[in-house]
Amino acid sequence: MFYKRNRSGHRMGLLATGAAALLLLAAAGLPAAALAQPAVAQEDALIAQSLAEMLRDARAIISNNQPRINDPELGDKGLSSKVVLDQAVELYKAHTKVDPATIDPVSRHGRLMRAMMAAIAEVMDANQATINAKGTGFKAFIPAVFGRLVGESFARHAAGEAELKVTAPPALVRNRKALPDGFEEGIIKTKLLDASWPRGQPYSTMAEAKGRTAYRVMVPEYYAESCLTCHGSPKGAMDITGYPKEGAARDDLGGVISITLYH
Amino acid sequence: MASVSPSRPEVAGGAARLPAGGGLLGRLTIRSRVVLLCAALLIVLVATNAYLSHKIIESTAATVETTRLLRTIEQADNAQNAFGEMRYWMTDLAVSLLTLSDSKAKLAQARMERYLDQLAPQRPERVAAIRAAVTQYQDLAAKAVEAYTDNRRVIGNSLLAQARQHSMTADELLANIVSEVNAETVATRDRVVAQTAAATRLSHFIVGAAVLIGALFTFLVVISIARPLRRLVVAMNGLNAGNTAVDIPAAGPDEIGAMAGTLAAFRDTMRELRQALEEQRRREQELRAANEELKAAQAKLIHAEKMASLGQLTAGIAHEIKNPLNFVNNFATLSIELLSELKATAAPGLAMLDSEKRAEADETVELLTANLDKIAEHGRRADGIVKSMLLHSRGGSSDRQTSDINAVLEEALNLAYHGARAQDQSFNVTLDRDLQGAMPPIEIVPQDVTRVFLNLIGNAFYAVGKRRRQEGEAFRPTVKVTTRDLADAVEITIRDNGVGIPSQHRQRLFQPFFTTKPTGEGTGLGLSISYDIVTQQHGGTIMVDSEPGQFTEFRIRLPRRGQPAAARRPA
Repeated sequence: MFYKRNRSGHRMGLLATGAAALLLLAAAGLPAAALAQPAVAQEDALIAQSLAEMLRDARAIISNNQPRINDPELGDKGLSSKVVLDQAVELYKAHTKVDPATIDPVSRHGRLMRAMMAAIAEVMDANQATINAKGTGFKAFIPAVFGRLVGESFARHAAGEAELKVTAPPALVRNRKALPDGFEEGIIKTKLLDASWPRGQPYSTMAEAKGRTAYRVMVPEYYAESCLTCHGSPKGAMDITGYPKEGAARDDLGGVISITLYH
Repeated sequence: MASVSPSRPEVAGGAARLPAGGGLLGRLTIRSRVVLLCAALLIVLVATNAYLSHKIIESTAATVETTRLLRTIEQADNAQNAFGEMRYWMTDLAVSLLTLSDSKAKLAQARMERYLDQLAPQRPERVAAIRAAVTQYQDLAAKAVEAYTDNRRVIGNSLLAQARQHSMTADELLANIVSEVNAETVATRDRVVAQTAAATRLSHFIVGAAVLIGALFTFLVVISIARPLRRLVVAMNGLNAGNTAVDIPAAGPDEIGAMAGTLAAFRDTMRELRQALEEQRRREQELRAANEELKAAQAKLIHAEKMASLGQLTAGIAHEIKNPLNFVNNFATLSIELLSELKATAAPGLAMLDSEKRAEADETVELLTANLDKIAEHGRRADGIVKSMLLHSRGGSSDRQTSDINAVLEEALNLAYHGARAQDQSFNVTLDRDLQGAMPPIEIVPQDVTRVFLNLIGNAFYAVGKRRRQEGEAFRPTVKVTTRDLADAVEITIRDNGVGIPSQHRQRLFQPFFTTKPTGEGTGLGLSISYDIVTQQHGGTIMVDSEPGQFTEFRIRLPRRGQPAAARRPA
């Protein structure tokens, strides 16, 4: 059920790294921090990994189509929600050898996967006008924005059953909606940014979130070479979005997919 | 004008003394004047500088105050700008939710807080009010951002509107600070400008006054130096030209005065040297005159010695000749008488002789008588010569009498004229008398002076007679006698228009026995005797001037109380 790394497009490095980490988890059969957890935790880990994979696959589609999206000469980019979702599913299947359609829709995994897919479709539908705008080059519909919007939409579709947020170390977060909460910030600082933390290894644990008990998984994503166009050097220089570059280097911790599965 | 320093020696001579310098400056040395001038200028300079420094300090203080106010304005402006930036980023954050905006807003807030901290000492209450407004704005804006982050847009708008009110308050407070401080700055600047303008005007006035006073003082100092120097130059040029009467500035206390004193001393020395030179010249003239007199006296002495020798010789010869001559004369006279007695005694015997014999005897007696007469005649002549020689050697009478020189001259003139007429009835001459009237009497030996006049008048008659014989009847012989009272002497001039005296005879004119007359007409002793009478006996002078063929003039000066020039020659 695990898939190969996709190296194409923006953020693909992060996604691939995250996929590799989940692959490790899957190979071990247990989340890294929940090896002693019972079968519920094992299911949560699988769901989290699946949701993260779907997000990364859809985000890869957006990343791969950035030149097309930012082409001012082109009107309809052909990136409807169905197109993106289909391609994302294809990637998901390629990476996990699992067809999302085969996941039991009644099951928790199935519900959340469908919520994820609905979120992807919703975001794409909501931004068609932006994507297809003619005469405008850069449209700021980048993978990060896509990921944040999908996360926000997923929370609505999951209806309190789960949340997904693409966050990062606070210094690297550009939109305050992606800021890590206290738990996330602590794990990033103490675990994921720690030099001894195994590269790509997710962190998962049972923790309280918004007053509820939840299984929380934090999947680290590392900068690939393609990421450095906007986040690399020289530090402070403006990237294409008008945001100053962070001065990051390849393989630096660049993001974290934080998944919260409420119990 | 400066007075002459009492310590200075008085400058002798010179006309009006001119002071070396003028006024108060003239009492100071040039060095003191220059030092005073420099000191005055330096005082003006220092005073002006001190005033300007004071004004600059005031201006600097005002500038510092202005700078402080400007800094306050800048701080307020910066705070306002930072607050505006903060608001911008907060608004941007509300819209974009970018953490960059959040961090920018925080940075702007930090900057604003820093500026407010700087403003606080100047405007503590305002800054406190601003901080309160900003805090309220910030709280509300942060809440608004949170609302926007949580997709509660309506609430976010409401909170942001509330925040805007506080931001306007803070902005207005900051703007008020800016305007107030700006007003203070303008007032301070105006005050500085006014002070600077006043200082500039006063500085210009002081500089102008300093220039005028300095120029005037410099002019006075220069004048106080140049004028006496010019007078000194004029005086030195005058002295250099030999004018010791040139005006020299009076010696004063300054250097020029010292120069004037030295120049005056030089002038005095020059005068003394000139006087010494004149004295030396006068003495030289006196010495030269004395030398001439000495030479004349020596000549006279030589002449007198010569005459004395001649006199002695003459007296000796005369004395030796006179006795035999007396015998010759006496025996000639006696022989004539004897011959007459013989003729009378022998008459009877002669009568007895024939006529031829008697005639022969008578002729012999007559020839003998004639010869004896000749012997007697020449014997008398020789006796006269001897008498003259003796008289010459003995000199005249020494009996001086107070006499009227005009009367003596008139008597001699008459005697000579009648004597000449007696010898030559055809002799005629015009006598011209120019005798000064009321002539005071003079002490002379009248017989000897008459003799001098007779000699000279006789020579004059001889000369005019000789010329008349040479030139004929057309010649009018004239002899002019003149007397003049010279106060301490009497001058008698006897001038004739006769044949004159050749120059070669002048030197020998008064030598004894020198004569140009034919033998028997002169003894050659007349002028010699006259010279002795005038010079030796009366202490006078006798000079002769003559032009051959024109005139001869003898000029005699007899001192009124003349003394014999030398001892009388022995007889």
